[in-house]
Amino acid sequence: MNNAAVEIENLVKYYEGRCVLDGINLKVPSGCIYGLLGRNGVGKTTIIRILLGLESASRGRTSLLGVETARLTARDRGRIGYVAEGHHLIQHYRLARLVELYQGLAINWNEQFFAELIARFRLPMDRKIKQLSNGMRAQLNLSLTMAIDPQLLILDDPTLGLDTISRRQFLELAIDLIQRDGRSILFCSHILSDVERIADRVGILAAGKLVVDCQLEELKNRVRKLRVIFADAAPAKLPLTEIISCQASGRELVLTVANWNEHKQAMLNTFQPQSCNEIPMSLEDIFIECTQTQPLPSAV
Amino acid sequence: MWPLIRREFEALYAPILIIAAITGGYIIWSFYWLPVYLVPRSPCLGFPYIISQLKFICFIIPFFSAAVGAQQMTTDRNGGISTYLSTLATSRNRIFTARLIAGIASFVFVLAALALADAMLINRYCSLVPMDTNFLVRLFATAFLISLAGYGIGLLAGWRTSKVFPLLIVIILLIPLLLIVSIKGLGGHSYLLLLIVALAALLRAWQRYRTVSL
Repeated sequence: MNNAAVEIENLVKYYEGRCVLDGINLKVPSGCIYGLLGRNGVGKTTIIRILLGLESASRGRTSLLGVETARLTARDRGRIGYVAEGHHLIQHYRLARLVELYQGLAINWNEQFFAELIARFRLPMDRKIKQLSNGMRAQLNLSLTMAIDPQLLILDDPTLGLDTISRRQFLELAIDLIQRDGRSILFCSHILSDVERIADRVGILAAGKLVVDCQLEELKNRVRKLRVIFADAAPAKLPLTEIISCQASGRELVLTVANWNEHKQAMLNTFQPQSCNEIPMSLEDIFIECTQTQPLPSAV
Repeated sequence: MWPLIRREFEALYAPILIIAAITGGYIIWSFYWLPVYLVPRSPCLGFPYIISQLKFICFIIPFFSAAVGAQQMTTDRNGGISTYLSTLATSRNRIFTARLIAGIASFVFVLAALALADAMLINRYCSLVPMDTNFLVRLFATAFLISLAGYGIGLLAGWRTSKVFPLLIVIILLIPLLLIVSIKGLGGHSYLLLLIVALAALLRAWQRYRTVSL
């Protein structure tokens, strides 16, 4: 627990009798950028809200920076930065007032860095938060969060609604943060190219379970998509384990398999395919494969 | 803690302005009317006049304090204020404590201003009737406790998105409380009852705020 920035053990959450999170176990090591992925309503935001103590878990244990969520003190919270989706902030406040409040509560405050960010984003300090565009609110939220120099940054779909340049700036800031010693980021996003750019490790949530939790490169190496052409009709069923998806059409079979290895290759060869080519997969392809098919392999 | 307290006071500027205007108006009116009209014509009526006015005001203030409590919670809930604040370097306990300080201070200021103004009025213009200091202290103590109870009920009732429902709850709970106090009179039994209601409401509001999903 001591070396983990985020730790979740057997987290279960019920909403009105419906199981939203079903025994989630997750560990974000210190110094890691963790991309948590999943379709809408799968429970990513719920996990983050439980981690931050905004909501209680039905069962299980969560901790941030080695401290159990329920025991987080104001000082502990001062080491954690959170950028929520929607960037609601305090809508009727002017920027200057919100900054003053944030600064007043912060344990660390890097005024120079904050001023640089405000100048870079050209944020008008005399405007009310509700008068800002979603993109400007996101920039303000990120600037405030970065100014406290957080040890752990939790980002819940922070780039939603941002234009390409703002998104790029946002990611650069996140990378800038992680380059400092021992900083960690837990990052939820639907923009998988963003996650692919910055994440070291990814987790994929589907049907209330964490079906993938590994290094990004490892995930790309482990999940293979193959186009297999047979001399006759493609077999309806293959005796392979950990098949994520399998689509047969005439002589062609498109197969996505987890933990591809020589043994599985040998098993496929017994069907004497005419050709077997690998289709390159991006994180987005892997995500789609993992989340659209049920049940999913737990071994990835 | 100070930034949170300041934030809570800022959030209460509308009700504080209204009650300050009403209290200020009453004090200015009394300072004008008492020496110019009432005391020169009937010197013995000055003290009963002040007491009757005070009793009326002391029955109004609990509704103000309840409105303050309900406003604090409804505004918070609808604006997601605590959701945001509790992700910063603070805790729910601190946010709630700051809220209590601002809320209680708002009606204590009113009571203190009234007490000060009336003590001056009685001293200057009602010297014919001996001032019953003990009665005034009991009146203000009861007003404080009933306002505290009203405030607690307001906090409890206010954690809703609707504005009508908290108002109904406040009225339904406060009117019987005021009736009981007026029947039992100012004294130990009323204090005890009010203290129990106030503490129960505040503790429940605190417990709910600590555990509710934000």
